[in-house]
Amino acid sequence: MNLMDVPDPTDFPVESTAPGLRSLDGSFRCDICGELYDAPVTISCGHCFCSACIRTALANKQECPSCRKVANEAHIRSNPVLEMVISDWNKARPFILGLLKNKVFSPNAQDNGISKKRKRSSARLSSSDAVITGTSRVTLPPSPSKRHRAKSKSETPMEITTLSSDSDEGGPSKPSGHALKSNDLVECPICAKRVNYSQLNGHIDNSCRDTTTNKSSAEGWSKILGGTKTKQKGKHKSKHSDSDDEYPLPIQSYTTLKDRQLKDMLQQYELPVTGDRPIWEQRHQRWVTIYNANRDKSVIHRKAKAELRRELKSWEEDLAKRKKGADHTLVDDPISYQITHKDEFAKLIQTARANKERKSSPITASSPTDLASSPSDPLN
Amino acid sequence: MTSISVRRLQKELTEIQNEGCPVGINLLKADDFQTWFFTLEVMGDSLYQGEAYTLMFRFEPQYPISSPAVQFVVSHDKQAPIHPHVYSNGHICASILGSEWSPVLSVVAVCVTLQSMLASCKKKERPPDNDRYVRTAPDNPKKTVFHYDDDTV
Repeated sequence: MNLMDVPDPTDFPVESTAPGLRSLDGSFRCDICGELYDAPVTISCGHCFCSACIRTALANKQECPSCRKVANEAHIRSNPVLEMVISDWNKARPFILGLLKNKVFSPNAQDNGISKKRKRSSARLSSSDAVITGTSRVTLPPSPSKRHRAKSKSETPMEITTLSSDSDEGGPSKPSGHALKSNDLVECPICAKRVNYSQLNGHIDNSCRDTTTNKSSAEGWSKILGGTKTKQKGKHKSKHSDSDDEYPLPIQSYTTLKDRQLKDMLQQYELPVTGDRPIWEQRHQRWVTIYNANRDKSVIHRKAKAELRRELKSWEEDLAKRKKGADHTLVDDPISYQITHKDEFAKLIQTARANKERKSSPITASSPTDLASSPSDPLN
Repeated sequence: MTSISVRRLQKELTEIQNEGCPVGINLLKADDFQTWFFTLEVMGDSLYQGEAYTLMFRFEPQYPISSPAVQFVVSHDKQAPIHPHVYSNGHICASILGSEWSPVLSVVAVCVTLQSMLASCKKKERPPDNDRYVRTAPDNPKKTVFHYDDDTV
């Protein structure tokens, strides 16, 4: 078997050697996938999962996997504080493991950030088949996200004081003395996006999520009402901008959709329409999941749409590959199954015919019923 | 990218190898991420004292969102335990393997549940509809729609 180096809490020594570390690492992991939380979210009962994990689980069954309380997608709330904790733990983890292993500081033991774990796992897979234990891991360049945040922290209060000390008339001014009009575009100190100066405060108050106020009402309506064909084309184009993270994608009920509509929905997000209808549904469903999960990350950690598309592609390929293998063990080749179970089929047909002649007795409500068994069997 | 299910199974396996299984449960074979085998013994005072059984787990690519297919191995030298919820072909009628499966459960958690299911048994007997079911049962117990009618175990 192809053993990989999959980090898990047992990388840390037992409680007596390193108190709290193993369970701490366990607490930072999603109970569904066992990875450090990726876009952590909480649901109404308070339990926490990766956004993509809980979204997939809820699509399957609408209850909390941990406590079985009723839950649905609408209960999902992102947890930016935990996201930050995980982002820091990603950096500290290999460092601590290095300290534990060597008891000396080595710059190589640093980083190994799991916020990039999808990428990293593939890199690691190709790099070796052997189990790498502990510390000596693939080193990636350090993530810049932290610096970004630190900068924004130091800048924001300064801007606010400047603004509040300004008088209403004449318009507020920047520290440099350059006068700004209310519709001038300025760079948001947090997300670095260009925002109308008059709306900057609102934009920051809104955690850098755009409000619709800077859009024409016609555009807003066309978004709500779905718009005309041409409008949709325009919307489609704007998919590349940052502002399309505004809303989560709705979960579709595919049975009510025509093939044409489903294809349009895929093309709207520049997804391929290869394969058959079940593939399209699976593809769209997964896209909605990873798209919405990406939205649950704070802006600086979000991935580009192109990257999400790549992830969708490799997810699909992997599923197809595994399904092939799994089918082999779970479902027998139908032809050979028919041959080996010929006698049973003959018996079943015979029983069914006999039943029909007797104008069928009432169905017995006995425990297991399966697709292959006849509902009532008088011979038994 | 390695699939979520393989990574999750890898983690479970690493934990089993590093930490060991609970008493009475032993990993027999896990050569791939599709089929695993465990031996199961009921410890302490029970109807199954001194008996060892083999459990087979089969995983789908959707694991852990979808439940594993779990059954006792029945072969020339292995038998399924005689229990009101275990069919003589090894299939198990237990809600956590079907409708009550949750993705936070693990292979070891399933083993422990089945162990306690055997431990709490009062009378060794086959399910009442054993013969009828076994004659027509599908190869994979996940294809059977079980009706869970006993809340006592």
